[in-house]
Amino acid sequence: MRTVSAPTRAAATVTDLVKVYGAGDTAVRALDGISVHFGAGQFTAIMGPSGSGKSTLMHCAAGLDTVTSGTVSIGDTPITGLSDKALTRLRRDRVGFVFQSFNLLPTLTAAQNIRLPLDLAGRAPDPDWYRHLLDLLGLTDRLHHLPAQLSGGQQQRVACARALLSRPDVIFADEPTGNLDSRSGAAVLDILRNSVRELGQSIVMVTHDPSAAAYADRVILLADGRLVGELADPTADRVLDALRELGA
Amino acid sequence: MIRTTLAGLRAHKLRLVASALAIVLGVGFVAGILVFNDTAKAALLDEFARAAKNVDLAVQPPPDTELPLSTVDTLRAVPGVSAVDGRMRAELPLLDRRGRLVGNGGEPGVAISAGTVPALRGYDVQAGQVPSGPTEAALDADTVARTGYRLGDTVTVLDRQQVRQPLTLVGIVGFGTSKQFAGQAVVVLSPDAMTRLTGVTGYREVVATAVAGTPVTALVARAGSVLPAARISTGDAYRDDLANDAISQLTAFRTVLLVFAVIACVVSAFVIYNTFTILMAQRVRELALLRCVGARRGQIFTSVLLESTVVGLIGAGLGLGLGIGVGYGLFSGVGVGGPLPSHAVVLTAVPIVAAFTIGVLVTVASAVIPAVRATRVSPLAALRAGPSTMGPRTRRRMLLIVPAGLAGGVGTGLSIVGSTAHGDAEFDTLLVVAGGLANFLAVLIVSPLFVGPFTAALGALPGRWFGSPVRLAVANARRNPGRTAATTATLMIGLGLMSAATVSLSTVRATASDQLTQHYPFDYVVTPSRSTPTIPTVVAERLRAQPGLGLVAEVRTSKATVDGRDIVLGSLSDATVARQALPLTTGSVQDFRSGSVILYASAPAAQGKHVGDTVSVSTSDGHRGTYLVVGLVAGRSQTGDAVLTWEDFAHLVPAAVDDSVLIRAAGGVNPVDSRAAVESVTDDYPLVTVQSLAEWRAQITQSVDTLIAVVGALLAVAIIIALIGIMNTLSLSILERTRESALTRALGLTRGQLRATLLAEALLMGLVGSAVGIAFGLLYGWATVRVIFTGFAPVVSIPVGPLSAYLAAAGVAAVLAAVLPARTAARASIVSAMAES
Repeated sequence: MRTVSAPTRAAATVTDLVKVYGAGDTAVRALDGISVHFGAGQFTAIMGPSGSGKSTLMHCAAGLDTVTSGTVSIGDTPITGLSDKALTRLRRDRVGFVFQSFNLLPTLTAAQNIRLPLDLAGRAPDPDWYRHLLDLLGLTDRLHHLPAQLSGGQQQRVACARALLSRPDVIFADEPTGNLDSRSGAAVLDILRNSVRELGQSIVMVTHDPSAAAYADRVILLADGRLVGELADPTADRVLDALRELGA
Repeated sequence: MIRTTLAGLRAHKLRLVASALAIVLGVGFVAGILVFNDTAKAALLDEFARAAKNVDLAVQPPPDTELPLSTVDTLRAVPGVSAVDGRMRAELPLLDRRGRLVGNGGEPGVAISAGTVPALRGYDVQAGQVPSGPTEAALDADTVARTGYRLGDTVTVLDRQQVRQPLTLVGIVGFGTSKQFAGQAVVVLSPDAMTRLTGVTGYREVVATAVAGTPVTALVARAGSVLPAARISTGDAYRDDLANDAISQLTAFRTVLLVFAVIACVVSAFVIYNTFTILMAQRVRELALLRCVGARRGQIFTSVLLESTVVGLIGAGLGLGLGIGVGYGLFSGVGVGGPLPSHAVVLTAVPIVAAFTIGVLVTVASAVIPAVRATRVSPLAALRAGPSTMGPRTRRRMLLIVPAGLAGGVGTGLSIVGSTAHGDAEFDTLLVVAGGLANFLAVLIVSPLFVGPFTAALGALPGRWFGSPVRLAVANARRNPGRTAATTATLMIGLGLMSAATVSLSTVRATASDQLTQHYPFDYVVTPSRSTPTIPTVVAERLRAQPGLGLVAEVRTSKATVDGRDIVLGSLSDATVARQALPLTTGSVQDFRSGSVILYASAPAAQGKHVGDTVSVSTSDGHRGTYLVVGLVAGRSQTGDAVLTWEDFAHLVPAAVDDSVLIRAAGGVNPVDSRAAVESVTDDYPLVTVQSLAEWRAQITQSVDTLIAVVGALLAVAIIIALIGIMNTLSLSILERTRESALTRALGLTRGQLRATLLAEALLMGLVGSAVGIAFGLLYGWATVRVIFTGFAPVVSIPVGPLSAYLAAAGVAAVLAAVLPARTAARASIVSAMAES
């Protein structure tokens, strides 16, 4: 049932990416010349020990943070050097986000949160797609609740709906299950995996949980800002083994 | 605990800047007024030093009288007195080379006697000599400079019959640093000339020097025994007395200013309350941690109050510094060159004590409620994950509604009683104003309940037009109604007072203008100068002889009593005019004939009088008569509150002279010619002024506009503090929402849109606060003015232009206040902002 896309097409690409925080003696090289190709229609997980640079990689790839050197592309569009305005517009129209926590605006209802990126763009969602998503994520009867009235799992599902609604080139998910119990976490991961398999969505997920990574098509392993390994069709055990090797 | 507090204070010092600034401004205002007052007082004391130079003993007459010429001899006979001189003083109009009055805002000059003892002169001779002959005069140096007169020139003055009299200028005198005569032209005359020109026959004061070695107090006692009726004082006391007279006028000025300073302090209190509430909400985790490690509730409470005390002390210190600057600026700006001489700034203990007391009290009192709330934080809150906010949602609505209902009930009751009772207008006005204040308090208390929906309503349409940024702004402004309410309350206060003043003053203007149009069908009014409030009777006679003028009517007034109560008696020389000028509410003008009186219902002496009653009128010099009330008039009189026929008035007040002359041009005469006809007569009388009704109306308009501007300037401090409050609330709210802003940025909100969101939030707060304030001011401005004009309906003027300008200005100012916080928020890096907890 897998829709494997041609390996040449990319959802996002980073080439020779270097990110240095600070300067002089206190400079930290968070990314040290990394090149990764995130395939379109693929679910890629980024793993690595704390401080390995996995979140920095995601932030740079998503255009949330500036890079020291190297290039980043979303789809075929190079984004390094874009103005803040152009970058913001690109994020709004072509990138989706799911964060670990604090994912929703507390003042907006679930429906308003879901539609926020499209509202910001001044566009209306495709009504069929919108309804389909809500059904798929089981949110139809929660639309008028404020985030504070939703459970953690429901909140994360709202965040997923928000990311999926605009059919972005790529969705970046930063520890999406980090704050959830295992059942809600599994539900969110199912949604992400199904959106890749059934809807052809491209997803890049940062996680430190091997069983979450097992939902992905491909796992890339980072250590000290460098790419140190890669697994295709991972299982939790294989991921754990790979991580153990890194730690040794 | 103290160390923890101070460390916290250092860490959060930027967040407390707004509180300190609010206190600095409030305290600076109060201190400035006090410093101004002290400096002015000291300057006035110095000013009178010249008049008291060499004076050991001063004799002054009982009020409103003069000392007889014999006083000099009587005093000279007192043992221990060495030299004695009498000082005369009277008004004397001086004309310039072109025959116009030399004056300071319509005030004619004064004449003083030259004096016979050089050491006791109140002036210094700068050039020429002291006048001695009956046609000689000396002028003060300022006037000489202004008019260009030179020694030997002939100068012209008007004697008490307003006849021109030529004098030869023989001397130029100066008064040292003293500005006792405050820009007035001073003519020094010999005693003979003084009496001839001004009619003065006595001394304003008699001054003396003592024989060396004589104790002054003994001298005062001895002089007192020979001059029992006079007031006798030492030279020093004399100087202080003179100064105190001038200072009493300053005190009234100070009181008005202090009222506005109190308003500024109240507004500051709101800003401080809000700051501490927000700070406590942001610090819930920290407070909870303190409780976890063993801090008692009392310690938390004390810690918060200590923090506010430090803020109050710092604010008060800076405010005092500002106040000294403001006080001196006010003093040099308002006073010097006008009524006050220059003087170095004076700092007494009063402003210092006031600054620190007010600064600390206001700050600490405003922090009490937030401090109490801080003690309610549960230690468990430290362990709880998620954003740390102290929920104001737990506040029960009843806690607001009950006290607001009470205040509103009292306020509405007072207002209704004040509006419907027809007793003393002043007392009724006071009732309405008090009711207004109580109702305003009610509005402030319930404002957390209505600002949310109001903001939403206001933002609904723009939200539809401008999309998400505005909708986010509305949502943000609504999320914490208590905070938004306290922020907007400050603007409500400032703009409420401002618009109440504007509405009532505009109504006064419109009403006065309407009265003029309806009841004063004249083209010109001749009025006397302020200090010589009569017009020579010959003026009206000569005007009547002018062919271009159709109607000339004199108005005369006099003090009298009606059935024992004081009233101003008036009359018009032309019966037709009188009938026209008196819009009766009851009775008929046709009945107005000899033996009848028309009363203005607003006069206290007219209370309870009806048409058909008989009243007895008596004057101070013993004339009396009984008159039948034939009509009652509402409104404010321009012609006295009890109007008699011309004949009856002449009988009752035979010595009366004209107060004003009303003129209507003859039919078909154009304004230029009729004006020329009037001025051909009045030019001979420099002390009378001619105004066309158009000018008069313009003058009323101008004075109302000036008053509105003054009120605006005085409220400016309060409004600036309110804007600081908006800036502060917004900055602190933005700080709280750092992660949220980052999230929206990640999701596609551009920097510009984020800025727009925050600016829109400020704009909404500004508009909500000022709209409520203006609505309230409109209502109570109208209610107050209705009561002031007892007995008749004022022409209510709702100055749409100025009020919308206030609203727009408040909106713009609120947006400007948000520019800096919005910039900071938009600049933040998304990644680091997301990481913040």
